Amino acid sequence: MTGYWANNWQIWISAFCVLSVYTYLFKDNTLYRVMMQIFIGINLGYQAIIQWRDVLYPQWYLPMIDGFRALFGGAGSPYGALWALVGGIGILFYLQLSRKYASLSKIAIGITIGIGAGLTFKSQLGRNIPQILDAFKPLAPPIVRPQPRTTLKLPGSAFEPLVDDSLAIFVSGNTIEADEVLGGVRVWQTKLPSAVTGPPRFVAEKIMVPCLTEVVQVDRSTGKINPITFTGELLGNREGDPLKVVAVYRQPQLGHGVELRAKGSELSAYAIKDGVAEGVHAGDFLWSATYPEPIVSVQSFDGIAMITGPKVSEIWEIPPPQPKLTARDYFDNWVSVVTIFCVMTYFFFSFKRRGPMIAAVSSSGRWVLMIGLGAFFGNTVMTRMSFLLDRLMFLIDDWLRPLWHQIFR
Amino acid sequence: MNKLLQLLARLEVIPRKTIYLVLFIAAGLPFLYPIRLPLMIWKETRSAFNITQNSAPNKVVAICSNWDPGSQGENWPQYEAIVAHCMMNHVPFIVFSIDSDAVSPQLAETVNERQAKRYGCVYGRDWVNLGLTRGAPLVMGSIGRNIKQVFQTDYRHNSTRDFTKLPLMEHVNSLNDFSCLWDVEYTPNLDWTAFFDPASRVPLLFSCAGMVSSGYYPYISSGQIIGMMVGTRGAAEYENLLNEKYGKAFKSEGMRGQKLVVPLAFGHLVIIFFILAGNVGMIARRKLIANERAAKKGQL
Repeated sequence: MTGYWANNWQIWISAFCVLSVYTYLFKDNTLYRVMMQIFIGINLGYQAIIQWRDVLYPQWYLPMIDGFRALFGGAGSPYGALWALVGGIGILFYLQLSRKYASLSKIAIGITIGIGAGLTFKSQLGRNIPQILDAFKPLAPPIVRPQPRTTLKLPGSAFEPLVDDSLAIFVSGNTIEADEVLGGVRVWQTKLPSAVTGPPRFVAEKIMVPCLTEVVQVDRSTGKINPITFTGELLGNREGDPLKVVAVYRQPQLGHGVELRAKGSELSAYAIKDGVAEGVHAGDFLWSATYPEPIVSVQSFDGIAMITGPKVSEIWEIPPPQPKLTARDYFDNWVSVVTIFCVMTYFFFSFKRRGPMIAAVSSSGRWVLMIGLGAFFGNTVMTRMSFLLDRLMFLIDDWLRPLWHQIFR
Repeated sequence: MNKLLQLLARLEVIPRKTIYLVLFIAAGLPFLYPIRLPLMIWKETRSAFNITQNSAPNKVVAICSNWDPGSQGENWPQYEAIVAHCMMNHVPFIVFSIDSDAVSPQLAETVNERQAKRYGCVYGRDWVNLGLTRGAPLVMGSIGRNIKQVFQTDYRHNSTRDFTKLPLMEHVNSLNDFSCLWDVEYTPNLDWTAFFDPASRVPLLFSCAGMVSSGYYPYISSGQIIGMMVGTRGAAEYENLLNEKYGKAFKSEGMRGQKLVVPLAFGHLVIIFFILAGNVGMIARRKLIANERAAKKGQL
């Protein structure tokens, strides 16, 4: 029995605390109140220690002390000493306790409210704009499939452009040009001694361009032609078909599931694996779009596709694969849209709602709100019940069961 | 007839203590006599499971563990299921707490240690607990840009730049190194959608209390959140998925989700019964009053 107590005394204290708190279900009593005060006291004490140990000491005190040491000849950055100002502003909050200097606390409060307002503004925009966009749901099967959107125009190229990070190299006639792919800014342009006959290729920091008379070496950063040139055959810069590419999306959950295929001036997208969107299978046709001239190459990175023609290149924002909606999905969308409309009518107080039609819509808004609140209530019960079960599980499994085994073993 | 109505009208005023007693007995019984019930797996749980399952091998799962003793009834089984999944799947993970109760990192550490013993995982190599910081939502953006700047030491006071003790941290710098981000707390913070990665490159997965879950569904529909584990039910579903995927390799002993979900169902049945009983009582009382009025009118 001694061994049992040595191992389980903490469980007994915990069980006593739990049961003391649950005595409130019978009626408000002193034991419950004492226990509540003990919990609040312990929690506050613990919070204070952790706040210092894990937050203020490593993130404020240490950089500040290092900063002061650096000011007086020690190693490190002296800017850390600026953290003392932050501490000073923090202390201003406590001046609310003084009648004489209470006004100084408004500085700290003002700074906090200003930061809070700015953050809230960003937060609300970031959260709600996608919500507003999502409120526009398809109510019937689409007549037109999603289309890519042109975001930028770049120079054309006779061969597939070379892409390195955000820089793309275009060759056309006897001109070579480097442009920022995501900004459309020309970085440099250089005239070559003769017309380009093949795709350029990177060799370390140089670009090798096969021309009619020779292979020209161009500096990647400045575009200057290196005097050292040589003759001979240059190998292609990439393997595979330049008119076929797997689209790269920014969202990892979409992954690399769509293939873009160019034929003439037509670009088409096909799913290459099952489940890139709900109901979409490998090989399914997704969309197609027409380019103004015959396509030379297609490249894709970071959520976009670069389509290159002889005269102009374009950056297209490729539409993500759309789920194939079933009749039930369309029904859900109707419910969603009608609900939004009814609830908004219910909460529209700018002028008096007149007429049986508006009254009926408004009344429906109240009903759907009630249904929504019912769902909230059901979930509330689930949460409260889970919290109770957690404690019941502790009482039965950790307290009563070992006790039972101890007595009746 | 009136006697029956009088009897039924009593249902409206069932003493509170009786309801609590019945609830305690109904919810407690499945702990003593284990019962299994079929469980349907919801789409959002499966989606969260798939994202965690398909984590890239060179990336880590980031877990913001903000649960505390007040919410452990629902968040503990959820967190334990996620940790077990990462350890079984050999996906390294980092845990941190933001603006949470001071005890949150300690609770996370206890669960991590227990699961690590089961699956033979090592601190520093397979997981790192970065401890607590303050300052959301600004700190969310900072975590996305440079996590070592935010957490200069871990929960055990090792420097996050000491790669001999924390080799995992050598390749963890910014959101590019995260395969997904879980937020496990009573009310997961929606500011993650706006501040952490506005371009939505890192899938956000929420693990919340059932009570607040209804408010998050619109964010799943819009794609701002990719998956969600809802309350104890979500944890039980996740454990089922682990069971399906890993079979006996998943050591389910002591996992709380599946253990709690049956008493939860029993508790729900009790609540539904008392709601119906209360309504029957109310209707009977109204009928009784109407009968009495009609009788009085008849007398007059």
